[in-house]
Amino acid sequence: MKHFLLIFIVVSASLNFCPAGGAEWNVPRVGHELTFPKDHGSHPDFKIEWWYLTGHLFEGDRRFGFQATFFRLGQKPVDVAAGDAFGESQIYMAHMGISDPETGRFLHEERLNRGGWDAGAKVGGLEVFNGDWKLVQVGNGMRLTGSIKSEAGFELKLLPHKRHVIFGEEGISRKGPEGTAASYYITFPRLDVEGTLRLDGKTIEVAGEAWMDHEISSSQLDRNQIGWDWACLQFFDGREIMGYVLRMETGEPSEYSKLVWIDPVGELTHQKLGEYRWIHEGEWKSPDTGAVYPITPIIETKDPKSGEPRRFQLVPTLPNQEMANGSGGVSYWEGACDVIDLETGDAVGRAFLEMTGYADNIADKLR
Amino acid sequence: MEDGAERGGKPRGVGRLLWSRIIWRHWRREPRLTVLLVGILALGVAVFLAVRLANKAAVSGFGMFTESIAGESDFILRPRAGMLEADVLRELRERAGATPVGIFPVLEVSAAISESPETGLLKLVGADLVALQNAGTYTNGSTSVSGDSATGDDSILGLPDRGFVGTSFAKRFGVGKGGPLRLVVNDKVVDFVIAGVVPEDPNRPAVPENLILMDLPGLQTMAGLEGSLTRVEFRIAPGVEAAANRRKIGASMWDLATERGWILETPEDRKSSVTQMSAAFRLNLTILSGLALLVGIYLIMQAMEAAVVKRRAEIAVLRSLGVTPAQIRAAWLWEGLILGVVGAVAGILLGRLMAVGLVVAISRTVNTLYYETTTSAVTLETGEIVFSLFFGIVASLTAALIPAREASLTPPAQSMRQGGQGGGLALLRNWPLGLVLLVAGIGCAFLPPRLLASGTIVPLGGYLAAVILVLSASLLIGLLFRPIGGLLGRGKGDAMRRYAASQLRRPEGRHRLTAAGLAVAIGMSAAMAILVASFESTLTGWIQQLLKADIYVAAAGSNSVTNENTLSAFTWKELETMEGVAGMDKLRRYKVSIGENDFFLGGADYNDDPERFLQLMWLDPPAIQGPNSLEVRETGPYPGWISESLARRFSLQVGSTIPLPTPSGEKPVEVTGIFAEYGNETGTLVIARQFTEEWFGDDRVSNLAVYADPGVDLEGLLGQIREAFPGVVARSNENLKSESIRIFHQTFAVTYALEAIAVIIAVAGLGLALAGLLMERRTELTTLKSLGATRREIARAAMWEGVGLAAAGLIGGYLLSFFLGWILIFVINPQSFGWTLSYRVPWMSFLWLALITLTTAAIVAWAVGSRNANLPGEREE
Repeated sequence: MKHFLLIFIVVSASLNFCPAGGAEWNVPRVGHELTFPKDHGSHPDFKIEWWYLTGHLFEGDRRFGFQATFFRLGQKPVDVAAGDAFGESQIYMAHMGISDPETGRFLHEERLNRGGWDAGAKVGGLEVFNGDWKLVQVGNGMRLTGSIKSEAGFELKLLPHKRHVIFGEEGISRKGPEGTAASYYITFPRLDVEGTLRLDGKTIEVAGEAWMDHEISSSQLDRNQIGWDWACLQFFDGREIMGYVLRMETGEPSEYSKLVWIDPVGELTHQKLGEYRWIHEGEWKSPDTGAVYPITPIIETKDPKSGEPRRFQLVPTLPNQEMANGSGGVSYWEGACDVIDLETGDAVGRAFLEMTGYADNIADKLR
Repeated sequence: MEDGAERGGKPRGVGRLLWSRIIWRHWRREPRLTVLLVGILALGVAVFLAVRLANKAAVSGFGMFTESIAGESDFILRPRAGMLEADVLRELRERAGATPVGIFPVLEVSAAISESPETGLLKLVGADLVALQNAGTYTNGSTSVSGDSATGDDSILGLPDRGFVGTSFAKRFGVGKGGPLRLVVNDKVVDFVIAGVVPEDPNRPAVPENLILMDLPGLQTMAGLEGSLTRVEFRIAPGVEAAANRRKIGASMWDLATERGWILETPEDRKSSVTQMSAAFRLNLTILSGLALLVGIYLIMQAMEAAVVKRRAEIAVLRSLGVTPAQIRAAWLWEGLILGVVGAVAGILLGRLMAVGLVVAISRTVNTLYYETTTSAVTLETGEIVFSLFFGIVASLTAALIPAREASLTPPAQSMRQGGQGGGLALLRNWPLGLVLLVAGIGCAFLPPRLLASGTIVPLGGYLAAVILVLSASLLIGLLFRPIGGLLGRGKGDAMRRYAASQLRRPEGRHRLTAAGLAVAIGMSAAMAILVASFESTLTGWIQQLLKADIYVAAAGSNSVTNENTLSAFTWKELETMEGVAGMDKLRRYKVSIGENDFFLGGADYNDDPERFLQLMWLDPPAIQGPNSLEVRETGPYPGWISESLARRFSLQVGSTIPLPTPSGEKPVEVTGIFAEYGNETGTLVIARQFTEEWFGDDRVSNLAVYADPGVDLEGLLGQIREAFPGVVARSNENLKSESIRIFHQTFAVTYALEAIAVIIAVAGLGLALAGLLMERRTELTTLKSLGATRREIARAAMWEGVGLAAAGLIGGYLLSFFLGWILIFVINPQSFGWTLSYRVPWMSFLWLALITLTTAAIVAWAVGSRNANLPGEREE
């Protein structure tokens, strides 16, 4: 769900694509059985879909964070996107980012293309591309090709360390009070990564771990929501957390906010707001947008294994990981963090944190 | 002076002395002369710079959309002929592999505004408006077309009647966002809506005022060009690996382009290949602008030489005080340098102003004749400033060189006799050298032309010959004084006239120099007049022979050779069956490229009526002549006719084979005839339209020549055609002929202005020279006065002398112009344009020019004489 709002804002603000008048978009249905690998592919009968990879790469002691995101925004529902060179039924947006704490750099690029010769997503299996950026299924894993301008490039092989999970109740993840406001939310919570990274004109071998979301939906967020904070935490003990809070105009978190624990074999424990807390901590002001982000949030939750309360703080590897002023004029913060257990002070895992709706332009466009 | 004398031995002291006694003192005493000198130099530099700047600005914009909207591309891929298919895009991306590169397909179509086709061609540029949002990635900044202007209430994606314009377009046509615009695209009228106005951004070139930006598939639909692209532009994103990525993309795309027979080029290549079409025209302008400076050199030389004479007494004193000839020479050169710097700086400022006016004239011509350009604001770059400064200083120093030598040869006071040297310039007396140069100049004209890498042919031998002949004329002009003086002094009557004649019979260096300057100005201007007259008579004859049909029909747009608007098969078939139409000639025109060179390919379908078939003007006629004589063969080589320009550019003759690139592959075309054509200098190949229809898969035509049934009311038929096809332009035979002549004159409008400037400078120089002569003859004038000569009589003597000088300049100039005209018409013109012209001298214009020059010279000389008559004899000046 996390980029639903963002993509809506970007695309509608930049070009004002016509909403598909009278068209019938498919909506997630309770009890619907997803089949794989087919459902890793595209669903052009749904309005919005994304494939979202974030992860941590290492070369010896040197560490990098990476993000690779492919969005699809349907303009009219079709079963299979036509083979036109300049299609009008789909718009594809993509983001790539690399953080390099050693040099303090955060490199990123955004791309927007219509479905057709230079962007698309295959139906029936994982294969999405946008220009030279590409994510395809290869055997049991996938291959990601990405670049950031002429500054950096990467070619990564990703193998699931554990099977994918599907968030939500009865196979669908609810977004708001309306029945249609829901998504199919498929996640690979831990992928083993190896490959090459090109930076500063040199190619280096890297290895690490990644997280991948694939979300399919057709509905929009509540108008009262102004943004959200989202994070995925990968603990050294083999467990993960996926959690988010939707922020309302009133300043209160929405009741549709959620947190999910994933155990080493993929068993899920869902927690509602109240069972966990998301506490804003730290302030970082963007030099590009002027937005102030709470970049060291604290998550309070109950450990489903021990039943004990836990307090984790996310600490970014680099303060400036803001995707500033993309083509659509939308900015957000998305970056690699360490997870600190506040009881012991130890690092217990790594995380990716996403914060939207903090830059003025998002809030303006929301109203 | 005493101060200086004391320190005479020290170089610095000498410098100051020379500065204060020779240069500064005279500038202060004669500020008007100094200002005039600087002014002449400034005017020369200004004209030269203005033409250069205007030339640049006039052809600056080609509606390269990325340049104005997304910055400049790294590479451009285009076909040699026809269009690219959109399917190639996937292949390009595949070839690029993991190398990051922005690939921007572009479709360009020309259009006209329905109600006012005279506003010229519009360029519709189709680009992927979604992908264009990524432009910021490649420019290190955000430069997207979106923003408030692009954000309409509705999507414009894929719409065939919506587009964005720049602010200059909106201003020019008085339309804004949502504004309606009725366009003619090919022969179709389209009701168009402005979706938004792209705001100006100081960080990028302005969107050309004739450009409309559309979503690519929308334009494809609108123009009936589904699946077609004009070109593909590549952008490499900035970053540490940008250079490496550019190399990789360049190499892989080059390979692909070579495999498929496409052209891969950089924007600079593209620009030079487009501007190549008008290169000869613009080169001629530049050379012509150098004329003003050349005349200026003569004048400065003259003025400084006069100063030597005036200051001779002082120089002699200085020499007696021990100042060396080298120091004197240096002082003169310093003066030249200072004048040069001041003149050049003033010239640069003046030139910048003049360029603004000139750019309109030049771009209008280029637009009319060659291709649709958009002018950019005239910008003065550092390079141009340095170049002009250098040019002005070199000119001034060159002019100072001979007078400096002259001054340094002045003997010390003891042996000096005032005025005795009479302004030497020994070189100008060397008429035998003049004869040698004359022969050498004529010889140079026969040197072969130079072919530049850009494909432009430069008639170096011709230009060299022109320069040598100009020098030769300067040396030979002295020979005219004796006969002119003799003629002027014949008979009794006016004593002053005979006095003037006696002066001319014993010409001084200054007489020679003045006459030489005038002769050069008149000679070069008259030579241009000969060229224009020859051109006009040839062109008129050609038009008379070529335009024999009753009505000419084309898609709306300008007369530019790059008008790509076409008539659909539906339209021409309807026209063919219209009542009153007896038959028609059809022509489909394409632009194709072989190697680096563009030319035109015509697919012709001539009517077969033996009474009125189209007759070209043959230079080398084909074996088969008569109606519809373009042969059609089943297999290659296919027969074709070529224009003279093409024959010269590619060294072709009857029997040569041209490997013609077409969308269906390369086709061998055998040259079976060569015809004269004055419509463009890039050259044309004509083959049967049946071939172009087959090879290009296209049954549209570019224009039609319609023959009416005998006795049909032509005006009525014209009206009928216009009513039935509002998207076409139909002209009567008379109308097209007069339009052609009008365009011709417009082309030379700039030339006339430059000639006028040269003649004005030369006449001003004449006045200057006379002032110097009279100054020198003070003693003589005093004697004359003591003998009872009045001020009016002295003025009359000066007038006759001035008229005699002008006559020498005119006669010398006209003689020079016959030679220069010959070089222009038979050497430079055929080599650079590929046009054979008949030689024609415009006698009436010559007569007028002579009368105007003589009258002006008489008035100026009289005024100078009248003013100088009162000079006290012994006053030191």
